[in-house]
Amino acid sequence: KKDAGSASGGKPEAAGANIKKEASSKDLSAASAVKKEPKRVPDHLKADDAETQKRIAKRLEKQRLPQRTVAQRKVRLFNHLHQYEREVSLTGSFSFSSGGIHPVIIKLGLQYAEGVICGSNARCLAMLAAFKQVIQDYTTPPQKELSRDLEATIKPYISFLNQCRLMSVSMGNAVKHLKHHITHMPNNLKDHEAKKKLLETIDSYIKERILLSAVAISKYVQDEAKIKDGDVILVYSCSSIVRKVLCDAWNQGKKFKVIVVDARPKMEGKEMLRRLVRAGIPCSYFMINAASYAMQEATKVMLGAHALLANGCVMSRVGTSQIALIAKACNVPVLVCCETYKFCERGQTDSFVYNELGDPDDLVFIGNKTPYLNDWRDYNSLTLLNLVYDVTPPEFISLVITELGLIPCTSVPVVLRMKQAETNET
Amino acid sequence: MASKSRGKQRGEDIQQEDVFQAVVIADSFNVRFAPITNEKPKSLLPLANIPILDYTLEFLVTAGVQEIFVFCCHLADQIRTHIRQSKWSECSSCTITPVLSESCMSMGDALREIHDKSVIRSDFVLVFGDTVANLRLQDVLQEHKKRLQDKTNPQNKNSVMTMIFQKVPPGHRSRNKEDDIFLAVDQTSNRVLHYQRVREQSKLQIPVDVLADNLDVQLRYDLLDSQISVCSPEVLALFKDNFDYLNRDHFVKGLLDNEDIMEKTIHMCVLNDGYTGRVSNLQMYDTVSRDVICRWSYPLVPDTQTDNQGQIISHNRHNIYTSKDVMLAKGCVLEQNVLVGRGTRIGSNTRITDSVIGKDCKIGSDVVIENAYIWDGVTIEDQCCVDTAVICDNVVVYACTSVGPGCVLSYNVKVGPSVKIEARSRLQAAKDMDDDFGDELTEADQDAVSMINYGSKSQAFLHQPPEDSDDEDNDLVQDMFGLGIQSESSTEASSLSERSSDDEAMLDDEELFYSELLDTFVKAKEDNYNTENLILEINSLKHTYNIAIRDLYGMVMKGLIEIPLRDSQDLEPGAQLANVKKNFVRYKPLILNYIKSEESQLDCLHALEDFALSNKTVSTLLVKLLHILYDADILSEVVLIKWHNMEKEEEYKAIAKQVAPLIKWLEEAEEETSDEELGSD
Repeated sequence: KKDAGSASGGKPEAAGANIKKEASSKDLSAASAVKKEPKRVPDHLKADDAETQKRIAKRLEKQRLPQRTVAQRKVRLFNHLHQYEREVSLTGSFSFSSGGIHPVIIKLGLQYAEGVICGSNARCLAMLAAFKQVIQDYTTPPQKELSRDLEATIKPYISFLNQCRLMSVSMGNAVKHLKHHITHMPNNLKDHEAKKKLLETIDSYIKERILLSAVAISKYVQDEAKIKDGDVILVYSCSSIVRKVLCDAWNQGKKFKVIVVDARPKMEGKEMLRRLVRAGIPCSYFMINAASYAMQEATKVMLGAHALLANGCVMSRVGTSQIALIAKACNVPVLVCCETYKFCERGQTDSFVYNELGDPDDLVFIGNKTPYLNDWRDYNSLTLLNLVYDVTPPEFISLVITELGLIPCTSVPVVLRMKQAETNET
Repeated sequence: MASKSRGKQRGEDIQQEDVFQAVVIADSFNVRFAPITNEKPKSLLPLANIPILDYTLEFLVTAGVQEIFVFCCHLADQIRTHIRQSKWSECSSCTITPVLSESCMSMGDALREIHDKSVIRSDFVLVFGDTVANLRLQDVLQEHKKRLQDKTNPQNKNSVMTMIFQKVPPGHRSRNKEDDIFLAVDQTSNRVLHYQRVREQSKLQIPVDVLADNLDVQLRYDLLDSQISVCSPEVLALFKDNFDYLNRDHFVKGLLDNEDIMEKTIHMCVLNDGYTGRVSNLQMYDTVSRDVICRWSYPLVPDTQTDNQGQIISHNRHNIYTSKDVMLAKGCVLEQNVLVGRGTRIGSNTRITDSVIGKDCKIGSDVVIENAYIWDGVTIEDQCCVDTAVICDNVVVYACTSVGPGCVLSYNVKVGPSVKIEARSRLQAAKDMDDDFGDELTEADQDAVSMINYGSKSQAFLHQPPEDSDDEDNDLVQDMFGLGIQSESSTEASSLSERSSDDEAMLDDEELFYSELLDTFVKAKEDNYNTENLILEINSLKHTYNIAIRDLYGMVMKGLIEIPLRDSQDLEPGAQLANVKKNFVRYKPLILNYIKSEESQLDCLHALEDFALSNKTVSTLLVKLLHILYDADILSEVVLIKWHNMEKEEEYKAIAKQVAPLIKWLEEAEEETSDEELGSD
């Protein structure tokens, strides 16, 4: 563990990417300045554009939602992304009388903001549970239609959640699904019937898309013998689906070892390690700077994903692409476990165009040692960048395991198209 | 004036800081490691192929100690020679002086001896010779000194000892069950207020004044006592004055109990980083060895330490340490956490994991070694299996022998071939001689010992631990070596079982009381006691076992039902019932003496309920029993109805259903009577 792993492997790549990024962001800013094709760049990527900001602010005001203070110190390259200061209270401006936002949503938003609920699946499940509560408590006002009014009610909730923390792709897809069902709700249905139908929709979404998908993925891993006796499987950070797959394989009697690789600032690998050890799996634990040392004995790398993009890239917790790169260099196959509800039509070639910026202060704390970045705000030339996700290019990924089977990651558009057809049919 | 005194003080400081001294007690004054320690003192036993004492000395020297007194008594010569030959004999920064005394029986004696020699001039560190640690003692020493300089607070100034702890959560493998402690500390000053060994008790008592006299008390059960302490020279004097102090526990307890009289205080400090472990028994030997192999005790790890023969060890992936000249045959697997010493040969297809193997060993092919500690010059022939064992120097294990978990094979033992050595047996090469205690083994014992067969070429005798353990320390916690194979799940399971055993301990009193109560009833029947005497007896029993009055009601009732049922077990239910009824009639005065109020009736009903759940006969008879009790005017209808209407847990629901007809009947009867009353009006 003490070996300072050669992290340099990733560096030239990153530098190269940097230049590319600069270029792309220049293109971006140029595009927004000239406004040739304003619709091509969505609002959430134009945090550096004053006019868009004004529009967003106005909309928030209309929805009676609090505005977050924009971070003062941002890395210049990332001006187009939203970044907020850590606030004492997000809900300080709410009054009891306003009654705008359902308390379940407020609670959920705070849990997102504080990082109590994190992880793509967990966030999506929590959101769906909250919306179930909202629908249960909803009554259509007289002279209004449920399909219209409920959608209007939910809209500010979603932008509130988005303010607390940027929505994940999984949440976006779930919301899209829910909205689709709300707007297509027949008008002749009675209130309670419509509500019942919506609740059923949510339940079946949770069951089919999230829970059963995990079971199916785990089964595919089993059936295709992707985990064999004597395997050493390297995992990175914490992923509910990878954990499930590993635990199921272990319970099936497969004898393998797991290497958990972890990184600051969130140290989510600790939780992963704890759960795997509790299941009885022999584990070892490395920090990401020793990943290349650990990789030498790994036979497979198994990763979770935040989203699978249309161009085949995998968006996941920052550090994942480095792991995949090292695995590629060591000729270790990289398997990504991902439910199809995390597939996304967006295409993205790097982690800079679109990403989430975490709180830079998270980087200050460095475990037991005395932090030396405490006063970083005093130095004008110093800015901290805390990216939450990164994008792994498809050539590093051997296989994606989904509930539809084992597919190459370039098949994402096919899956998306089939889904599209499916929804249109129903 | 002030500056002068300060200057003077500083002068003193410098003088005091001149020499940083340490006292190492290189003897544990117990026989945990018998029979190994009969030939070699414990502190010279190899831990990861290096004598334990070397770890302690290395730790002290690295921590900046300049003068070390090693106190040895059992086999002191060996320790003295070892120190003379060690690399510290020419060490310039530190002098190590062995202090020999064969007569000492306890740590207290040792410290008194050292006091008599008057070699300790300033604050010193007191450690045992079996400590593996990498703590920063200098900081603790400074803290201790600063406390002594503190003029404003007399409690600080009178501090004589700073005990060093580490935060280790309960259930962690490095927590030694014997040294489990419970501590009350003043949070602001770190003064120790109460110190107690837990010894698997479920209840702990803290003196009231600990909580009453101090504002900010912290109770801690998450600490590991490193048994390392920084002491003022007065500690020695205090040991001298109080010749009944045998060990540090006595000292701490004595000081804390007589704080007002002695006006001495003890402080503590918790170190967050670093490692400390004491090899106090075989279980801890196992734990500390693993920790050393897993590098928690860095820099005290096998590949950084070289003994005087210049042994060089390389560290590989999965904590495999091998010397250069180790011969590994084709197909032999060293899985993880393995240390192999110089000149050892390992045969083909042998599998070794979590083990330490000493110098010049010969290990055959197809051998499985797990979690074993094999010392120097050991021969293990083909197809043996060694699991969780300590095998000392020059042992021979002949072919096809399996050594069970928890075994200790002492020097020169030979076992096999083709035998299975039972778990937890301790073997030695020679028979037990009459020991000093003079209790000769009886002939029958001898025969029994020699009866066990350890194979045709064997030279082994079972070691019998002396029956009369020296003090209460020994028998309380037997070491668990070989029992707990430490995996996360098993520790969890064991902690669970511990918890349940705690519950048992709590129940114990009640159970004892109940069985005593039954005996009393039986005796009363035989001897025809009169009711008053019986009541007296029961009351006195209640006080002895400290039973709550409410529990008593239930138990009396239960007893009265159980006795006749037990007597008439084989009879028809009807006859049983008649028996019970007879008993009720007989003891009615007794019942009425206890069960008078509504509350007591309710308690009694609850007890019956529980009883019915655990006993099938009772549950079938319950309705009738209740009827009898009602007829006998022991239970009133009001209470019965109230009881029936109370909120019930799931398991009691069946009973409620069962008694429903009776309750209904009662309710109807009540209505009738009230109707009648109305009618009569």
